[in-house]
Amino acid sequence: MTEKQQTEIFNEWIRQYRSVIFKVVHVYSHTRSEQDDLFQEIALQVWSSIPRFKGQSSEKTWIYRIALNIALKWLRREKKHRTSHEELEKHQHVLLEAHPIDQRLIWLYEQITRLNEIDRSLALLLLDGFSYKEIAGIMGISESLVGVKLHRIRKYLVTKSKKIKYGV
Amino acid sequence: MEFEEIKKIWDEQNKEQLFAINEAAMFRNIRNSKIVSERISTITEFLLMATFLYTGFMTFFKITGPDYWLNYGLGILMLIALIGIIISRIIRKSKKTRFDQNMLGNLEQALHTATYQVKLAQIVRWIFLPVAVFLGTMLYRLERPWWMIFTAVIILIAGFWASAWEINWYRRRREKLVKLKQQLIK
Repeated sequence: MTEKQQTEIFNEWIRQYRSVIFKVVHVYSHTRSEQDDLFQEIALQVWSSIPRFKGQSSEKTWIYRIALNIALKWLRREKKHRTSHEELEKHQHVLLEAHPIDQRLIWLYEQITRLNEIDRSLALLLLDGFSYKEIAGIMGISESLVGVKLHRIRKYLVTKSKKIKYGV
Repeated sequence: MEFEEIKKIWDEQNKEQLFAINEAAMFRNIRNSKIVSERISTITEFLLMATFLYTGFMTFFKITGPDYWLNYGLGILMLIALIGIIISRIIRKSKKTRFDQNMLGNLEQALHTATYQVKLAQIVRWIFLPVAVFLGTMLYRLERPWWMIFTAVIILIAGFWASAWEINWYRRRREKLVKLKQQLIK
């Protein structure tokens, strides 16, 4: 595969599935600089994964798998090994805000962010409508365990939603 | 709120993108990251290999003195350490592709690497002891001044202490991974 072909596929994937990366970035990072840093890491890995993609799963599943794994790796790293915020500030931001975010969505992201690192991934996959089988494939755990965990997350989100004040 | 309503809120963001991407900046950063990306394990291994190779050969061929057995002993020790690191690198590389390409597989691979780094740091730490004995005896037998022996001892103690800190750092990283794995499988 030539670099030109790889770049064409990458552009297409980013155009089509950028929301997947945005969601992962939002759930695993907080400040604008962190979001930029994580987005770039995921984008880099997606780009370099293109020659390995054999179509055994859907493109969306592939990108989710990469994004979640990179987000976990990124979180695990010691802060000093991440690209320093000062360094990032020197460059132009990669993510530029396009629309104001709905308050209810902000609330939902906050609830997901309060979950542990693994459950955040599961919540994303659950809300994006992946099947138990697909989630089990992405996470490397059994479908029955996926069922148990998703039941817990669903219950958590519904319980939290009952306590919100602004009447969604 | 029922789960279906929560999902509707979630799906709203798919209709319009919350962020735009500065593509020029993204591509520039991707290229920069590709150039600077390096693996800690590989760097450590090559540094150690170069050190042991250099010291081993220097001890064999360059240093002369009344006790040749000391030179040979230290040289052999260095070369054994070099072979040990080469073997562990080959094992690490061969195991790299055995992990599943999912989150659990990635965590297991990271755990494997962390365990390897702990072992590597432990090997290096325990090499200090015989090196200290050989070096101390050599300097004493060569009737070097006391400050030289003292400096060598201080350097070796500092190295021994630093490697203990390194081992603990890798252990803490491994513990984090174990915790993460527990979150996934329980």
